[in-house]
Amino acid sequence: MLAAGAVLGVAGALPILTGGGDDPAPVTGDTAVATTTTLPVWVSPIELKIGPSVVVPASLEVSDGVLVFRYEVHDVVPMGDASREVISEIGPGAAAAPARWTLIDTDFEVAEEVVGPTNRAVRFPVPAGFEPTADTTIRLDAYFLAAPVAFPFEVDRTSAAWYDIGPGLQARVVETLEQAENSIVIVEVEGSQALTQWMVIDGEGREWVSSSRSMLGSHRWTLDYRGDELPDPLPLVVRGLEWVRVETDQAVDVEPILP
Amino acid sequence: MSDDALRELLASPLEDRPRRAPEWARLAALGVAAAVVGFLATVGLSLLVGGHDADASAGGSMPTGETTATTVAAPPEVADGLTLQPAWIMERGGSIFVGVHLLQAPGSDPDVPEAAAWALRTEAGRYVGYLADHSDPVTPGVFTIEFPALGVDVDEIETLLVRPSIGSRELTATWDLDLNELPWAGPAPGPIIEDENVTFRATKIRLADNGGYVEWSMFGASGQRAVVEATAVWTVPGSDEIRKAVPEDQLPGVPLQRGAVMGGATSTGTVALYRLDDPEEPTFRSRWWGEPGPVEIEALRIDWRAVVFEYPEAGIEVPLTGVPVIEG
Repeated sequence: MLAAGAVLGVAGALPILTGGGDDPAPVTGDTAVATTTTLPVWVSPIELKIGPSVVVPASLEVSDGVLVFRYEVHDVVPMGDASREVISEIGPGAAAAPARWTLIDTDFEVAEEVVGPTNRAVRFPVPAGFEPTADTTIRLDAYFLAAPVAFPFEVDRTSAAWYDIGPGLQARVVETLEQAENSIVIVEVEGSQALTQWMVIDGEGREWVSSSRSMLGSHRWTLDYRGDELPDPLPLVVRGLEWVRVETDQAVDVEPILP
Repeated sequence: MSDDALRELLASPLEDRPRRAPEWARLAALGVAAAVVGFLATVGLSLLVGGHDADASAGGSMPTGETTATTVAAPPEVADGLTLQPAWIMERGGSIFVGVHLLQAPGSDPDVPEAAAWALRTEAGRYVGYLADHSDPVTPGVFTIEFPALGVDVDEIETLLVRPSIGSRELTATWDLDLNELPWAGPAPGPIIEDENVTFRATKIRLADNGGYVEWSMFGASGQRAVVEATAVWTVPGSDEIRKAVPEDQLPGVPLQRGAVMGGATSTGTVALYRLDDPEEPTFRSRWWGEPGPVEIEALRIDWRAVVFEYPEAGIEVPLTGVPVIEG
């Protein structure tokens, strides 16, 4: 693997050294100027750069009327000690990931959303008999970019109103339960599971001793308050990773991965 | 509901941690590292023999059949081989958030700047200092910088200024408090820490057997920022047991938990303290350990540590023109 990686790195560097990187436009005439944009290569000459990461196309496969396009995502940022500790435990993550792709062929075009930032494939429905060729275009239209946040917000105890807590995310209090030694507050979050799995809803302050996501698969959080009296409005905070959607327009070089 | 029943009902944060990556992912990471090394070796060799002319991008007339490369406008470099790129701007809840990320040059091995200070500059020349820079160890190199809105329209923001720290100094102090019962709430018996340049004060303080918090502010240190830590140690009468409360980021397993967002160096902040279930070998149960109610104690000591970061006068300018403003 290491040797293969080193070879990949050398191969990736070569287009830059030879003035490549993108296909040069044809030049005709003495005064014509062809201008190409030379971007660095981190992992592969066919990678796409999205924020602090690169997307490396891996394979194309047609099966049962579906074109499956798989890819890898690699972060190209330095890591601090805390990240090394985390990544040694959970494996490498990615701070950005594709969100929407479009497949364009001579007689049809189809756009598909990726389920979430941890997914590494997109599936396009295609006409019977379709096979991708060098003229097939797969375009990246948008990507998710991680946004670490610790965003406080206040919620009326007795209101069931929704509050905006992030891009595409809302929260509301569905129940408060005052007990002899503590109070329980249940908060519901509206948003896709894929976009909320890296964030926490918690109380703001040391009196909030714990926050737990429902084990039943719902988007409810149970907060444990151990203060004198449950405050109103409730001081809550959303912490962790939200995902910002960034528009882009980059085409994949499909030729090296054609089946 | 009893405490024990509640603890059983509530899931451990460790159960929520991201799933462990398969071994191939680790190998892939090593492969990527090797790729970077290979890239460095190749680029380095080429540069040595003059094979890469970064300035060959001027455009103009070219002989037939030749092409030229136009270098994309380079984002500002914050360290050798490390650039800073703005990604988005968002206004939410009285704050303006700016998303930025680092980008490592292929083949480079840059040092990550520590505890940078940030500011916004508007078209009218108004400056706004930051409140916090949020980061998460799961996504290294990605930061969300929070600023107070203070009536600033996001459309007026022109430039992000970043000043990577040029040095730091560590200050420590110890309080020995004559207390015989917890909970204890301030007032603080004096400055937390001070030297000839800076004074740290606890503006609000509360400590119970299950932990507590300290809200702190630094005074007299214009342009400096700090990270403050506190550790409380006490004993109970008639027992040799030593009890200890530490900041949240020192709890076992916290870096693996979702929501382990760090706020960076600031001029005010809060240290949340959690009582360890076992001072020698603490477990994840520490988050819920201790009694919130009255407990007799003796020999309470609080150890303070502040790391004060210093910054250059001039900041590195990061243009924000054209950076998308997203809805929060």
